[in-house]
Amino acid sequence: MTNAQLETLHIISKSPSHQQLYSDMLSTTLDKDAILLTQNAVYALSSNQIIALAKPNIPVYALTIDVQAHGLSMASAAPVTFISDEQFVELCCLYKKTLSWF
Amino acid sequence: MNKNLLLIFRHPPFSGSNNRDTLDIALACSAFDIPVSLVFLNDGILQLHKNQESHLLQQKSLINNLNALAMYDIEDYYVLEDSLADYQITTQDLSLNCKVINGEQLALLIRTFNTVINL
Amino acid sequence: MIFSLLIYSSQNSGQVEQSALRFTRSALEQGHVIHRVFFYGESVSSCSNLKVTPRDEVNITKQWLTLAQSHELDLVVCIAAAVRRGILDDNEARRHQKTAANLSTGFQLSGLGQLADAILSSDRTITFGN
Repeated sequence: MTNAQLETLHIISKSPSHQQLYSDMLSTTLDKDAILLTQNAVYALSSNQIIALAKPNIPVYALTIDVQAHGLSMASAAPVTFISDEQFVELCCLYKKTLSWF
Repeated sequence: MNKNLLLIFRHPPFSGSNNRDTLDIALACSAFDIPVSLVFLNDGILQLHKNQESHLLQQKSLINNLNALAMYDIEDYYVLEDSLADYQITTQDLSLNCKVINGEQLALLIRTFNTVINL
Repeated sequence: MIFSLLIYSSQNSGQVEQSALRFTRSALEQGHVIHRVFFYGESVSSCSNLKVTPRDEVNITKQWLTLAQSHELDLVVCIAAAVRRGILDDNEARRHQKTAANLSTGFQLSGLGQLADAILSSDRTITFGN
């Protein structure tokens, strides 16, 4: 059904104060994985956490609606792609699986 | 579709229903012939610690359920090396016979599953 | 693509549910199939018809129902998680001799076998939690 060449989309939803969670997630990411910030995880955009999240070859995405809902600007100290809910669905198709962290 | 399932345990015992809920998923999926593997990280390794006396907290222990996993064809268990070191625990202290893996091996292990649940 | 959702909120927060609802709506709009939405853990409380939502707040149960009705969604609530939290359908209320049943229409109580089936039948099983 799918020719997904990309591997795991890590979906994180807790705020960056949950450092162990972020650390666990990062330690399991490999090339061809990606990270999606949703819900409270969008706060990582305005914390030092975003630098730690920026591993080469591992794109970081953030759900635009969640970013706006939390009053954050669509800017970040490290490369982040802001995506719509539709694009979230598309990412789930492109990646072989999702792995949620919360 | 050939599915396999990796379940991740990150919570200590008696701290909410996450571990019990994850274990219940393991049993149900195994009953549907989905190969199930378990991995214990960080506080999750504490769930395996021998000598728990849950009755002192009026809590049900999951140790018996964990020990019965083999009867349900669930015999593939992993524990993270760094977590054992952090808690100064050895495999002798654990009630399940787990393979010890490092972080990189965990990342590669995750790659081999098409479904991962991490409550 | 065929999706199933596993909803596992550990708090009574609307964010998890809203995330799942939004994903479901987007997926359906794009022509994907939602095989099942499986409510587990604390999220089973979304399925109670006894919740009284303040007028200035959103009723999650109704949002799921509206979506389910327009798209014939299979909304399954884990029976073990539900009964221990006081969410019962008529059968369970009778079985456990409880005074009331409160599972909202549109939802069904069933076992984790439905989650196993969802995993087997779907291209992607996505967990929503917080």
